[in-house]
Amino acid sequence: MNDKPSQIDRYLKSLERGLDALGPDETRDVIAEFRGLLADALVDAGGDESAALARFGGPDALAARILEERGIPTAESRVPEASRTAQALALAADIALWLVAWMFLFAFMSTPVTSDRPGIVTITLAWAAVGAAAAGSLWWWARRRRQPGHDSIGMQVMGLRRIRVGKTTRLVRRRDIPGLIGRRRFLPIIVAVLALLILASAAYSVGHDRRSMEKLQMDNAVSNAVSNASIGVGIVSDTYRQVTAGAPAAGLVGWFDPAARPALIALERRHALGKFASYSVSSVGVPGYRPEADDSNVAHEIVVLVDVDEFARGSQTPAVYRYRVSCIVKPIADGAAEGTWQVRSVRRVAR
Amino acid sequence: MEDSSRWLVQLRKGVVELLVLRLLWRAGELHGYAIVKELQMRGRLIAGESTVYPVLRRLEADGLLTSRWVEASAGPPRKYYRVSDGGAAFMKEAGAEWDALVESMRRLKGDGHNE
Repeated sequence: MNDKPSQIDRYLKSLERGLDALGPDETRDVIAEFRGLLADALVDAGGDESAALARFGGPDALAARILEERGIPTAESRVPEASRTAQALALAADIALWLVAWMFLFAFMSTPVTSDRPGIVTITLAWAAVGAAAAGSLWWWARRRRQPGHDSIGMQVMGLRRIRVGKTTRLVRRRDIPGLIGRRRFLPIIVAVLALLILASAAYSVGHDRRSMEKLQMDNAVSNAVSNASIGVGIVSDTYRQVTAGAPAAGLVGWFDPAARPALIALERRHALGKFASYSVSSVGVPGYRPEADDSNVAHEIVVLVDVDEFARGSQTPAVYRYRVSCIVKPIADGAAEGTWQVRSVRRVAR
Repeated sequence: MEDSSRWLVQLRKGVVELLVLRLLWRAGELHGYAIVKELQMRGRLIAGESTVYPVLRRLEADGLLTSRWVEASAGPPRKYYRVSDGGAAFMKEAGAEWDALVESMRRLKGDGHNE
């Protein structure tokens, strides 16, 4: 003989549990009778236990029928209904899970995707799992909330279960159901841990995206700043090149703001008087640079400071002139913007 | 459709005890499995094992049936049922009611055709 309990043995064990309210003597009697009935059914079914048992229905339903016929309340009918607070919290947990899933999707999709986003496939699948679980959980509430055996995630997290009591159903605490303690207790914990892992991975992914975007913006900012500095240095360099080549200052006034034009005349005079024999141009900074403004079309000013070291013949000590070159950006129609680079001021500085 | 099947379930539930009593009255003594087989052979009102056995338990608890255990030649012992004196009285009374009901239904159906 096989020591492993047969399907019939397990069935009778379940039936016995369901008949607890009958008392031990009558329960023993019923089980003994069903052992004989099932033996006959097994012969009729050609030894197929599943086919034989199928004719009797589930053991819980059969036990309930026997108790119902005897007018004995079933074990389920003695289980008190869960408190309204617990039921409301279960529903709230399902709604929260559903909202979190959709908020996660929104955050996930609204964050620009960088090519090196880690685990994008895994996280997308994880989201799909969370979303499906959340949607399914709400669906239970919306469509099958009155059917026993269909517990939503919120119900499981709150330790609730819907059971049938006669022709109605009742939402009860799982721990109040006799014989159910220990079954599926770990499911809520597993769901919670899984949800935390998914949220953590999602947060990491989104954070990674933000860091990548910030780095990209910083790179763009540096690039823009360097570009702006080049423009400023270019204007000043070209001014000096043309002045030292003998070009008339009148041809360069377009590069100078009216307020700074006397400085251009002064430069031409210094050169004519041989005040400097050589010079060097360098950018000393882009003060107040605001990438978010410079990358947009709002009214703002981009400023570049350029120093020119003028060396008198035979001297190692330069006279330093600081040029403030800027571009005043103004928005125009259709979201575009325009601006002109000009030297705004020049002053001699000590180094 | 759903209403008619629910009505049929209620009808089967109502008549199954009368059928069991009448069958046992005729057969004298039968065990549970044989009762189900006999009823299934005689009509389609009895859905299955899960309908009959709970009724058997109740009829016995109500004193309308008596039972005894009989050792089987093979396998576990079987529980045999027979109609008690009280069960016989109940069966006659309920059977008369049933016959009157059927007769009323038959006549009502006939009257309907005539009108």
